[in-house]
Amino acid sequence: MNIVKIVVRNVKRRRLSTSLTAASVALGVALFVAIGVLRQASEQGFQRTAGICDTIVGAKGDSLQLSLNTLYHMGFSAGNISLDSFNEIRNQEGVAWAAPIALGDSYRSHRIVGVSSEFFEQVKIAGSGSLSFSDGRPFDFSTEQFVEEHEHLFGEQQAGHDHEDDEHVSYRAVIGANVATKLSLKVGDKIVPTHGVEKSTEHHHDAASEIVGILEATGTPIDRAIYIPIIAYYKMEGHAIDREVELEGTRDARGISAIMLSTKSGYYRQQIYRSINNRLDAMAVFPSIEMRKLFKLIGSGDMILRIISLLVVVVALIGVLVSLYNAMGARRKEFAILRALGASRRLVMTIVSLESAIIAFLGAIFGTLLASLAALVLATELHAFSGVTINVSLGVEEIYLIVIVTLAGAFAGLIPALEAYRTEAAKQLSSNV
Amino acid sequence: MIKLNNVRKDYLSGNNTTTIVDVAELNISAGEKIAIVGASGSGKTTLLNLLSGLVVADRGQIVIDSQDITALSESERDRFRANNIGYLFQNFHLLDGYSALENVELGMLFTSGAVQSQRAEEQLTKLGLGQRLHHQPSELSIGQQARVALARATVNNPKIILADEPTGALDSESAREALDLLFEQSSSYNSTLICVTHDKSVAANFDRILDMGQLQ
Repeated sequence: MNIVKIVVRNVKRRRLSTSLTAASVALGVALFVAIGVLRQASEQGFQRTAGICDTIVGAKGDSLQLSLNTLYHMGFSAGNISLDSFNEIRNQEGVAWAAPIALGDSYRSHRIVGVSSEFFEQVKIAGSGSLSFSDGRPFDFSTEQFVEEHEHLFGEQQAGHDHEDDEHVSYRAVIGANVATKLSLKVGDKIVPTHGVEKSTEHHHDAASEIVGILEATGTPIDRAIYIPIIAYYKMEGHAIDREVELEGTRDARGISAIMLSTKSGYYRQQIYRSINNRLDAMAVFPSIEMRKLFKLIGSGDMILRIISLLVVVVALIGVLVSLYNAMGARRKEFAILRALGASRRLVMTIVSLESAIIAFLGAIFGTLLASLAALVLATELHAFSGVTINVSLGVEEIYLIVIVTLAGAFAGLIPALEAYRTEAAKQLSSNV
Repeated sequence: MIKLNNVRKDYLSGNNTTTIVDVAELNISAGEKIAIVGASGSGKTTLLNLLSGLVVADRGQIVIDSQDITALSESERDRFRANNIGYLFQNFHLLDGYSALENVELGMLFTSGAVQSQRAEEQLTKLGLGQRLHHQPSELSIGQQARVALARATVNNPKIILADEPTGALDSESAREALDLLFEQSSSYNSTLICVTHDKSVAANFDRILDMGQLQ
């Protein structure tokens, strides 16, 4: 028998009240931890994706929209930039590599992205390096080839292009790890792109693409995308090759959706950024800065949520106080007996305060576990939605939180503990109840 | 061994002050068995509480083994009580939710020494409860509860056993048995036994009978 045993026994004896009060503490703690952990992990996950290239170039418009559309395949493209502009930009001094991107179609909810071979060669994922293949290989279609074929294609178009001449076009595709798993696709299978990104019944049967490679998982939206040679994108019916589509300005269907670009050094980075933004037809954005801005914006919202969850913890701790206080009347005799056996007033007070601390501790532990579970579920959902993998892990902050909530629990127990302290043992023991 | 000198305890009730205990002089020898009798409200229980240090005298001295407990701080009195006094109550006051063994262990918890489960077990076994060690108080008969309370009061080999109507809740047979055990235990540890009782036949078994009415 020892004091801790007495405290634990008392907590156990009031199972229902302990469970309910601990559950309310757990709810607040879970909310607080889950919001914090998810925010931090999401930001890290999104920043990891943002690190794929240092600059994104696209039509003038919303910088966040450009970043989200190009890297995360969310939302819609703000417009296109012309091939001439692409050529001027990629040939600027200091550009290490520039990969053209064309977006707009999908296959069973997975975005189809037109890229050149540079994409597979140059893209690097923080922590895991270059893209690698779990099966097959990348398609061989360089940016130079793209520029050449694009000029040839639209030169012919001006002169009166005929679809029958497209027989040389080879439709190939490289798919992300998630696409392969989710849709049970393998090398050699064929996919028929759907026009647009919303649910559409319009299929590009003319562009059925054979899968030539499957990428290893990267924990980024690359896992959820399907990559085709960028020129194939223009050759599909209803795209640029079709003379009915608009052929002017940022809506020029012959243009490219965006450029993923990396510069040679920090000096060139700013210089190229400024020179592109001085153009009238294009803008450059740093995706990592865009993500920071996005999370700063989200941050003010989650601060409010965290304050609310803290209030839930405070209310729950008041619940612990009330529950213990209400039990005081029935427990005075118990304290009196302990006092008669030699327990000091301070010890009796400590017992009650420790009971409160234990309830808060149990709530904090349970809440933290609940938050981890919720964060794991939400992380899976986020991955399914955006392709961004976030690593949910608990850190020192959560340990501090458990300690703080436990101490706050002990503090909340002080009022009932003072009642216990004030118990007059002699008076209680002489009543024949 | 126990000396009371001009000990007085008053209680305030509204604006009225009532003197509950007023003992000019009382000496009790070590190992002596004293019965305290008196009318209801005559201060018998208060006297026990004064001796245990649960209640502080308004004036006077209570010296136990050369230690003036009226001069001690409350926490010192608590420690003194834990180490030297065994308390036995009319309703036994066993703690619910704790087994018989744990209730006896509680009697050792606040002393200077460590809790010795084996000693608690021996004590209960000696009192015939070897088969009831892990029973809850509610699972024991009144007589068995009285024995658990006695085991708790004597487990520390106390210098003084204070018993407040220890047989009050028992039938005559159980009362006789409990009293025998109480005498046996106090004799075996040479403890001073001070027992409050209203039962003259019980009081007759003690070395000395103190009537609160005559004492004050």
